Amino acid sequence: MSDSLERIGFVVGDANPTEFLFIVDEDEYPPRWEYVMVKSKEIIGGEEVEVDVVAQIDSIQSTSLALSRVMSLEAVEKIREAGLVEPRVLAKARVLGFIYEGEVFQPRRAVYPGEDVYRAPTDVLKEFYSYPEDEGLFIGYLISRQDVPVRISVRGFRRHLAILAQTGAGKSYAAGVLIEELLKKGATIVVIDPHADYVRLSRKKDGSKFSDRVSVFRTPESTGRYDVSQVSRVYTYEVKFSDLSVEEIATICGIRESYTNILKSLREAIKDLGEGYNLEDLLKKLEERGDKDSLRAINYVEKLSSMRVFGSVTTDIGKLLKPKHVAVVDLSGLDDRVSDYVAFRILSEIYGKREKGEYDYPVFVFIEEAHRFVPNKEETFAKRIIKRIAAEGRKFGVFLVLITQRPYKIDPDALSQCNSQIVMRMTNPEDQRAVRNSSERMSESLLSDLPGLNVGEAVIVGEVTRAPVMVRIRQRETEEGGADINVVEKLREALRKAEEEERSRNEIIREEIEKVRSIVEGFE
Amino acid sequence: MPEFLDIYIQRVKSNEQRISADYSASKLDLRDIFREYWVEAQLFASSPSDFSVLAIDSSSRRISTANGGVFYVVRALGVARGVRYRELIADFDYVSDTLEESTVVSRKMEWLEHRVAMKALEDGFSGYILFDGSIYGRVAHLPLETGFARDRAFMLDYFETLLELLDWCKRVGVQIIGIGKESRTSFFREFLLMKLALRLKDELGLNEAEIIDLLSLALDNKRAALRKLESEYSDIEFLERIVEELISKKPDFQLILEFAGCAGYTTPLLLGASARWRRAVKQILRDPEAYVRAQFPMCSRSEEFVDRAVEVVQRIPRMPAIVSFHILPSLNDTPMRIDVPAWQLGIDKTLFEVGWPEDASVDVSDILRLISAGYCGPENYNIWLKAADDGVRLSREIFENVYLQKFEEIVGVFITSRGYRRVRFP
Repeated sequence: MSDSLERIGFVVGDANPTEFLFIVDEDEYPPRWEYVMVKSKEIIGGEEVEVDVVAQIDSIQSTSLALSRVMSLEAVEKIREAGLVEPRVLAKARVLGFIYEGEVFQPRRAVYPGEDVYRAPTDVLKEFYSYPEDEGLFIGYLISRQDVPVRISVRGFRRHLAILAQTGAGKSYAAGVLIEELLKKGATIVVIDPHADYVRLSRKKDGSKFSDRVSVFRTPESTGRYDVSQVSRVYTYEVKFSDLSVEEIATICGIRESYTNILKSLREAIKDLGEGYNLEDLLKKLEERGDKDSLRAINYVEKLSSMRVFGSVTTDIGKLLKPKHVAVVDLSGLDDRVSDYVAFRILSEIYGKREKGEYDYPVFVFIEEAHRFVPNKEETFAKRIIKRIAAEGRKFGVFLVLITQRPYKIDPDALSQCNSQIVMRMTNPEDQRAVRNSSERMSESLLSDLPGLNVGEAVIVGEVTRAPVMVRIRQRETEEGGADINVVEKLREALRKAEEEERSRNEIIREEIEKVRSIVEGFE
Repeated sequence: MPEFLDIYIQRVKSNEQRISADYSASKLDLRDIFREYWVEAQLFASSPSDFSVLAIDSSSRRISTANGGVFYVVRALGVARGVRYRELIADFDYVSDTLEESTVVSRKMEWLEHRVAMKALEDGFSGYILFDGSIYGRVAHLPLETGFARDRAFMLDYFETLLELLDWCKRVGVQIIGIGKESRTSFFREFLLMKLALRLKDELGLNEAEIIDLLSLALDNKRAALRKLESEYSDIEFLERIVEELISKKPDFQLILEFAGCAGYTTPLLLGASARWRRAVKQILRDPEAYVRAQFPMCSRSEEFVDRAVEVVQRIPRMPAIVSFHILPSLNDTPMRIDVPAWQLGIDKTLFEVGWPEDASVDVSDILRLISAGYCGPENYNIWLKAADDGVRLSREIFENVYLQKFEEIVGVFITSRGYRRVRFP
């Protein structure tokens, strides 16, 4: 151990293998979330060995024997004036584990009262929160120890991951960091991106290139939030119209199951068309049939004309799946039902490829706004395949990263299949309850910390980390797309534009006046 | 025990009137004379920061061992602004008499408190030293051999420390104040009864000396006093009531709670020695070595001890008189007994020089100011002593699970059957 040990207190009171209390100097006590270390003895391989138990301060409590809560104001004032307050400061620490031969274990014994409590040395923490180079993803630094980098394990993704945070807390930013790290490790990544938040992943912040291996798949409906000059390697994503089943067309168009006659007409029209038709062909066929139900079907099917994602070919999933590659599927501008269908289509094809062994590498699927695709109470196209991947994806190497700001709106089964969670600032009690219900690793004390996190700070629990960790997410190398707009800058820009307009209007008026004046002077 | 509740109710009901009458009433109506010596006063608006205070308290626990001995722990704590002084004794001994056991442990508590005060003085403390309890009780003990087999000369240590403490405080002007919240003393009642008897001496047909003799005898030897009353003054009913009231030793607090109509304090009285103490001191003055050999028979087999003991006991007659009074801070509270060495209030008398309690005629406003500063209502009658009490209290749990276990480790056996049970049925 390179650092000399700095003693900050002594273990007191009751201790158990998961937590202990220690008394600290009231004038100089460590902050909450600080990491501490206590020497203890554990039985490993039948032998008793001395180990360094690492723990994190969960709470700090100050108390005074002289001041009880039932005291009157006068009594407290007098005791204070007499200098008899004698504060005692106690800290409660949550045990994180101990390292033995490079692995983290949970203690089976309680630390002993009277033991010295040290500030955890930096090198111990670095070891605690690191993984071998080819396994670790560098995600940030400990919140309370900015000199300690934190890596999470890519192996933990096998049992899926959820990134949960309220709007503006930095979840897309954190997802971007993970994507950068996974890309460096050679991962195949597909991002389902409803708001074009990830389309600039190929660029560094200064505009230079981050990677050539980032492709953006846009539909003709894409909002164009960023023009092509800001986004490299843009492809069109289309679905061949004739690939849609009657049920899929009906669902996308909004034809309910109870409209049996309309559905019957639609089914018959498609049957008449055979193979290789397009939307115009279907509309023409319905018109030709001319019966009441076919004409009513036209009213629904016509809506698809405005959804230009349905064309004459289906984009090959192979274009999205490449080693060391990020495919961002930009779903911006699409109707919810169409987005749902596209996500379903892509996820099904990815799953199919892996299930059949047609693609050799694991695929990491990031689903932004996951509550839209796998909602709690509604049925969607994507919900079925997402739940299937959540349940069985690890067998075939399809790993989900569900990202949402509304955990309570997401299907609880899908969420609880995410064995690792990156949870950022969250104040809504319903969302907190959903997180609590979905993760056995999220202790009450960690949950209580969530509202106190700053933007960019996260609690990480689950298989991606050796012990729950509170981390400040590192700076992204790439351009982020999901950030809030800079209101002040935009207002300043608007003001400049308005002033320019004012100036040019005044100029025109002045010119007009000059013109009139010269005409009048000519008459004189 | 619910099964006893029916009998309890029966007993209480049958004695209802008598209990109620005894709880408050005296055989004599002392209301008027009480009011003469009751000073109505409200507390001062003083602040704790105006005083430098060292508050001292102590605690103890003991347990009889299976082999007939006693393991005891005594500890004392002094609390001042930003500093604490501690003393502790933990020992094992054989004691022949359980009453003696309790008495000596109490003396050891006082002794440790004095040692804590000495520590603070050696550390340069100046200001007020507050003891929990009376000062009078400490100076009015007698040096006697204890029943503790290996600590028979303990009272000599006790007096050595106490005399040194009092001398030091007097020399440097440190004020000692005893504050007792649970006093059973009756010096004020005795003072009032004497006043009453003397006031009515003509009606009683007795002179002052006769009254003083009779009442002094009542305190010193009840049986002799009652015999004298019966044989010489059987026709004087009022005198009989006074003697009975005196012998009954009802505490002053009862008197105050019955008659005080407002906050205030009793007239500060100068307290002297009891007849028993006086007799012992006379013996010391006459022949200190004889006293030592008589009262320390076992220890006196060592001539070295005798020399040291003579030196100590010879200083005991110089023990100061004590000024004492009771204060009732508010009507919804109970009284406090306040004791200070008389020299602190300008009276340079010794305990030996004072007989019956007498009106001290002193100004106690400085003491009242200090009491007021530390007073916070019935639940916290003195903030300094409360802090000392909180810090020194020794719970049974700590005694048995920490102190006793360590002692058992040393002796290597469970010293009580409780230790065995603790291991068998943790």
